[in-house]
Amino acid sequence: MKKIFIIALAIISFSSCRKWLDVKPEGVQLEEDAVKTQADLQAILNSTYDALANQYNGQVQLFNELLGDNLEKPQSGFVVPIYLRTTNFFNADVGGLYTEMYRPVFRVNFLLEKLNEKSIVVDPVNEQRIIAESKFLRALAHFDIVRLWAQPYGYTPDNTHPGIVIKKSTNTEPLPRSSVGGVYDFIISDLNDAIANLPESNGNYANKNAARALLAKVYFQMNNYTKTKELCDLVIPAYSMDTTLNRFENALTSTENIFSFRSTGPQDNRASRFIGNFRIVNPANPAPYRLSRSMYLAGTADAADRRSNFYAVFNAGTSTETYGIKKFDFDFLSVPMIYLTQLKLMRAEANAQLGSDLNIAVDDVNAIISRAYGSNVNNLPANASASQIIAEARKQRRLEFPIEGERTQDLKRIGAKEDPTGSNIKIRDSRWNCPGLALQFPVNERTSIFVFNEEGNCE
Amino acid sequence: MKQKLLIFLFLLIGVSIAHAQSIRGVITDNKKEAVIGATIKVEGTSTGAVTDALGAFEIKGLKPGNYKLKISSVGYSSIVKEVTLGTSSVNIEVVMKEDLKQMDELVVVGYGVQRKREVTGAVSKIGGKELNDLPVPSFEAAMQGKAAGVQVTVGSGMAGAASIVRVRGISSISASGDPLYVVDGIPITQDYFMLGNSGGMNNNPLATLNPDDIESVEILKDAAANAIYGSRGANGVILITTKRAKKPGWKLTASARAGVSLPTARPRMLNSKEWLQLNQEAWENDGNAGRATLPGGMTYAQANSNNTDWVEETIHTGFKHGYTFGAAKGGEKLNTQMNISYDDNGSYLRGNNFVRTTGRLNMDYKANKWLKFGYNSSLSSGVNNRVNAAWSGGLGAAMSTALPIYPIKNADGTWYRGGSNPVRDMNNMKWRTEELRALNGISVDITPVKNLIVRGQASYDYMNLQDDQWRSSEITGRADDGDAYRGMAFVKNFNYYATATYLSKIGENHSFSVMAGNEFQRANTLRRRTFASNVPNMYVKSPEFLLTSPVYVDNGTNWAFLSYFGRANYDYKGKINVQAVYRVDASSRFGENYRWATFPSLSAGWIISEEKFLKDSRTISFLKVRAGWGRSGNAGIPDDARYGTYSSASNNIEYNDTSTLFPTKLPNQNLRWETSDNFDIGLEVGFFKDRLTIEADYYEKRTKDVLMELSIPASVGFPTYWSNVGGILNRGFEFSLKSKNIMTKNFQWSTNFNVARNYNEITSIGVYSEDAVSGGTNDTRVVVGNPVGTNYLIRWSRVDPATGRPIYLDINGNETFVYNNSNRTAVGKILPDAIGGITNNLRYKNWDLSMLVVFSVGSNIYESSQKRQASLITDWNMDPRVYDRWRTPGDISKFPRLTKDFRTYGLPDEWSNTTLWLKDGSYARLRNLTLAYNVPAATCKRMHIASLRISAIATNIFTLTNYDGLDPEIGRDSEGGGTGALNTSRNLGAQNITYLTPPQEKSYTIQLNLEF
Repeated sequence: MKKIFIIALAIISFSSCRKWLDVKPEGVQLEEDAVKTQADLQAILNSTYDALANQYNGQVQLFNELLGDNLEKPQSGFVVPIYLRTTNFFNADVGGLYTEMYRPVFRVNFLLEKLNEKSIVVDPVNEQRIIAESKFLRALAHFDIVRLWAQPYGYTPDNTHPGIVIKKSTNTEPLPRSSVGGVYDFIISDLNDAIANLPESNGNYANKNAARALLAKVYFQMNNYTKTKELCDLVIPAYSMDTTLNRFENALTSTENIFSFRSTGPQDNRASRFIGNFRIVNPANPAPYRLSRSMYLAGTADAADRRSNFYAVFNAGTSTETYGIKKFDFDFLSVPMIYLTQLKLMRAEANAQLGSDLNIAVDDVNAIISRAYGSNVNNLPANASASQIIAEARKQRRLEFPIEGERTQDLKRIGAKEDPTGSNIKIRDSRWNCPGLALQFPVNERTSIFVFNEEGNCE
Repeated sequence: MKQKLLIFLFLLIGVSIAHAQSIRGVITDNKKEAVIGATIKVEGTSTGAVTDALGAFEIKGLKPGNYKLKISSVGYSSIVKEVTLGTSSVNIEVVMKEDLKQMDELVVVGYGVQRKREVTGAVSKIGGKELNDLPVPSFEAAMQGKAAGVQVTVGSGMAGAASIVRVRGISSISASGDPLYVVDGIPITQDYFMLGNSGGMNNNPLATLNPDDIESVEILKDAAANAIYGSRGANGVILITTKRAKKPGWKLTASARAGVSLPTARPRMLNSKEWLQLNQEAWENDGNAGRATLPGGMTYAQANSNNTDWVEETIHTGFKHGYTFGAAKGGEKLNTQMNISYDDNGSYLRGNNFVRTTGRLNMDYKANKWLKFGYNSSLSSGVNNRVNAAWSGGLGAAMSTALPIYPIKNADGTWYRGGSNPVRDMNNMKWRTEELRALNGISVDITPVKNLIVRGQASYDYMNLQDDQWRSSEITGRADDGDAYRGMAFVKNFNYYATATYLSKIGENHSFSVMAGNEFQRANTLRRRTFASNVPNMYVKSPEFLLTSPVYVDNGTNWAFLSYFGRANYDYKGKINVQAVYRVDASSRFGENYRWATFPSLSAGWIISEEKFLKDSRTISFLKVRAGWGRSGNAGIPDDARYGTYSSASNNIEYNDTSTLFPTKLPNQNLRWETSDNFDIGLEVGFFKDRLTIEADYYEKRTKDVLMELSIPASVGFPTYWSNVGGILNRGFEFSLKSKNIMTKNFQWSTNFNVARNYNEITSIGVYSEDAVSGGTNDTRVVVGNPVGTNYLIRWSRVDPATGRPIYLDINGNETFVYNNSNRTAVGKILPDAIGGITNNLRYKNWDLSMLVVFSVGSNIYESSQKRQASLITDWNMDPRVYDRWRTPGDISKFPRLTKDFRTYGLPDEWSNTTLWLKDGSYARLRNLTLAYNVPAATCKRMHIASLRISAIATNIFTLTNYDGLDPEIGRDSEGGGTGALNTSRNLGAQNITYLTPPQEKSYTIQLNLEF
């Protein structure tokens, strides 16, 4: 008996072997288990759309609008300094968006490195497409990061002013900021690669025209009208105007849709911040964010413009009168990212700036106006001057894309073009090139090679 | 016939009790109280007896003659009494003396016990009785002030809140800084973050341990003591031993208590009129005319008609009551201890209580001379009826966003929704967390040959945590029955160890004991989550909805430790002790190349009082010096810290109805153990037969390869990265004293005092900046040359009398109006310089009085929420401290001019920190005051009970502090995403940083203790 006990204890004690320590974390997948097939790579690519969709759900757009003149000052939180253009490196909301915009960049860089490694068998057609989509998404993220965290293209004549970190590998080494010119070169090069390799049609994912249209937006932001016109001319014929005024209602099915982030239901809502921020639950308890009086007045200036129905007024006539927008009064919405109306208004302004094809420019603007009014009575005359076209195109941009994040970048673009010294063009009372109009980077970028933005100093 | 039978029976009895004479006796102590359960052994025979509840015994069956009775009882000096027995019975009276030699008490040291005099490391012992004498949310809170160098910061006033326990400072950053808890040899599950961070509270894994089960708690403080738990000893080891039956016969105990809970400080907020006035003042200061704008869409008519006291709406007088019952039965072969308890601990937060129900069964069975079995098992349930607090709402909202101008309900009876409404939130949310825990162990002791003891223990610690939440349609905004959520965690923690101990003696003078052992532990946590809409109640009340709710899989934990260890002790003549420990550990958390680590220690003690020149000293009864060196480690990091992990294709995250796959973390396969080298030198002295004992220690602990979850540039694609970076130094001095000041028949007075000073410094953080690790939102940083949890802030100078604007200091100490983060500097610390406690016990006849004062000196408090409660008028309410503000040029004030625009102060946002909110955190508090009456033995006898004690207990009734906020003892929740961030937050900022943290409770309790 005694012996049996001792032997049993001895067996237990010395049977423990190293295998007992080969314990993998519970519920997590390690790279060797997770990334093995072409389908896995495709799933990583899909997750990049997923991650970006979760930032273009109204957040990227909101930060742009907060810097501009379409919104009222929020009540509280880290969004207030964005509105006041006083963000610092502790602003959790600003740091959060920055982090979440670079996260998908890591994923596409991982994909590009993995494909380059050739350790996973991928058929050539899919390989080409995955590379092209990766570059499209990488360009999209960089384009919005550089617009929010750096002064705009044209802020300095040679665009050597600091831009953002160009991230083209999964390396963890800290990097310095590249110049804005360098960042735009990188975006353009990625998009040209994407255009060359993307298929004409690609379901709800980026296709060749999406890349062309995005590149047109990039050139338009750079005030490069020739390239803008050239690309718009390539894309516009493939699409036609839709009758729906609120493009959020039918983002995916609209004949204007070039690229949208798709929502499949209330549990998979990629417009959650648009809806959460602006949906009017009931008039007594309006949405957290209110429109500025200037946006409201511009939007409702002409009752014949059917888009004026988008706007709502709360506590009308009292000292606490505030304004809302009804475009997002839905349970879920897909988010239109690139669409025909943008291209038409870009081409109109580009043509007018170039002084060429003014008739096309007038048609482009009138397509928007006539839909808004349901008639031709407010159309530009066929012989409208270039400056009339430009003025009307810019006005229509504000009315057509309210709260979609276009307005502030439009004003910066115009400032860079028409007011290099920053004496005329104002964005809500501040000169377009004042320091605080570029968001501050998060504190974790603090290294000896990284230069932060100047904070505040927007009057 | 009847008669014959009777005669036969008498004969039978007569034969069977051939010797009618017996030895009878009563054993009392020097207080004339019965000594219960003393054993009386007749030397040279196998007969004996045990005293009953009255101290009486009787030994029958002895022939006339001379006998030696050996009388012994725990806590008393053994006595040998000679008795001459004739043909008639003898009555004797014995008075036993209490054994005051504290140095002879047994101390649990990990895989064994040692006599205190032989211990060569730094160990503090707290008896179970000391832990049970005051009502606390969780047993660890009762350790406060009772062991030198053990800092206990009691958690907030929320029911079941966890305390923060630090043994000799802190030596970790992102790895767990908590000591290792071992219950009856089982390293228990001690994950504070099983529920992440919700409602302003983390989960407390110790809350379901029943304090009444505890026999003693030993705290292993230096590596000489804790290297035997090498791998996980870096932040100390707390050994908990539960009660086991010892004395022969039955012992029944019962207790009942009832009490009330109140906040130590009631938040006083502005009323409607006061708030509106200050709002208007700020409006006008900002250069506006007319009436100030109001938040929440309120009109002045509405605002003027409301005056809600939100504090009153969220707190009340909490009620607590508890009952325990214990039964112990000792015998020749089998000892059994059984405890059950029920405790309903209501806090002062409305709707918040923690109900603990526990049962324990401990058994020892001695099969024969060489084989012994042990069994211990406890089942407990902790139901926490939760409410939101702190930043999450409830009282926190009452102290911040719930303005007095907001009503609870609108005129039409609907809830007010325009602004913060904690009453609406509370009434439309149900929240219940239930923890079920089974802690089971079996052990076997075999003595195959003389002097060799082989021991094996296997244990299983199972925990099941269920977090049920339900929100009504009022909150969700959807016209249905409401939303239900359940988070689930299932923790399986298996552990075994086997040890072999060999004792040997060479000659008279040299004793050896050598122990070798092996231990393996494996723990696995599964996590699941489910939620659904249109459910009318919490899942626990409407379980049928669980059938249709989808279940989501969350990351759990899965880890293993494999260890081999040895300990050798040498004793020379009972005056010199040397101990060597060697432990080898491997953890699944580290990669192949860094998996194994060794943790040695060497220590020695010299009992000088055993030397001739001191042996007969009347003054010094005991004198020992000891010194030790050792290494201990820490592997308290997430299981997947070293891996690059992926969220798999089955993650339920889809885009465009298609599955996704993505990396969730950067890998670092070179992650390795965090190790601490400890040095300790100690002195133990007893004076006047140990009536006064003193223990003093000096120690130094140097930690290297500190595990940190670093913030790296977000442009990398991930914000954080695990690495071993830098070093931490802890150095300190501990002193404790136990004195029996007065010892007379009717009056006794004793004092226990301890104080500890710890110096903590981060000696290196490698190439990283101060901001590489931060205490979550607590704004502490890692600054080389400063302690863990350094307040790194812009310095506030004063208010400019001319303009009322704040004046800051730049990095060179010059005054400036500019607020710039490059001017941040190390200005304070959350760790105190010194901590300690004084216990005074007074006893007069049947009355006793116990008083515990605890103190903490030299820490700062950062009152993080005050930046929104004073001077900057936002959508927060304020407290009356705001009135010390600037109003007109020339005013000298503490706070600047009121404003609604933070830019007036040069701030970038309303969350900006300055030293204006940094306070002196020193305090002394009357932690416990207990007055008790022990019903006299004679009365008890009439009542057929052994003893009855009635006590009145008050906690936290008086606090001495310069802090102008609510409560200077702050233990709050940790914030952050993931275990690393939560650990960092707990280590760098869970103490002494308050953000609307509910103050501690003070309580008044009546308690009855009964023994049968």
